[in-house]
Amino acid sequence: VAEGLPLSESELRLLESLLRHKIRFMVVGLSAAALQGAPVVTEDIDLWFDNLSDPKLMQALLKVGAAYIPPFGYNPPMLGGPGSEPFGIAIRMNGLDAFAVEWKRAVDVKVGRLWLKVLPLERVLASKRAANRPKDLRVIPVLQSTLRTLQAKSKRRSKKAKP
Amino acid sequence: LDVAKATAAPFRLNETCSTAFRIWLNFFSVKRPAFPSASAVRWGKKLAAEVAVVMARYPDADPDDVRLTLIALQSPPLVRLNRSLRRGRGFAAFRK
Repeated sequence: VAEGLPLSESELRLLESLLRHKIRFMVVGLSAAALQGAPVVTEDIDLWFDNLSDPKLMQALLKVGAAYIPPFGYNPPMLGGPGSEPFGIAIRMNGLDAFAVEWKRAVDVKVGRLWLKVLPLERVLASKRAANRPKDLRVIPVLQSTLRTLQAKSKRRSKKAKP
Repeated sequence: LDVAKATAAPFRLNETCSTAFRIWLNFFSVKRPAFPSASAVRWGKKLAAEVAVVMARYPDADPDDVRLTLIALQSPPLVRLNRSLRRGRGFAAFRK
């Protein structure tokens, strides 16, 4: 993975450390949509954690020289240090079920050498509809078309697979 | 005044210039392989056919979004995400 890209080696190392420490998290928002093929743009990768006060989370971050920064004033909870720059922490997911329920629905996507849990596109769409902010509403038609494309592709694939 | 010399000199100069220009052009010209137009057209036709299949099933979908999704699906997820982040940050820089 070339350095200089938003998601390069140090960012992947941070994610790898989270996975090694068995931290339950998933990629949500437009990054999740982009990973599944949606032609959308985003500024950060939102991660939704099962438990932000898990001591293992701090250990996993410390291992790569990063740290958890608790919410302060207008600041939401954040990650700081090497490899943490593109990541945001999702504290509230509108229109979704509890983490444990969404975790079961999450899809596994191979990102570089890592397998990450990613919120399915249908659920990203549901969260964008529920968030109802102008910037969320703008991407809904794109996400719908992407969903249609993926559905059509999977139907064709399953048809081909049938003898 | 030597008329022959006076008229020949600029001519020679022009000739030298044009030769030098040709050498310069040759020096900087990069031998690129011919653009694989046939395979690009084939790729485009296949893509259009795939878009048509999706549109036939879901007429409410946007053909541009469908096409861009199909193109995005040809790259691995990491490439897609990095592309999305780079473009997003590019737009953000324009906004500021």
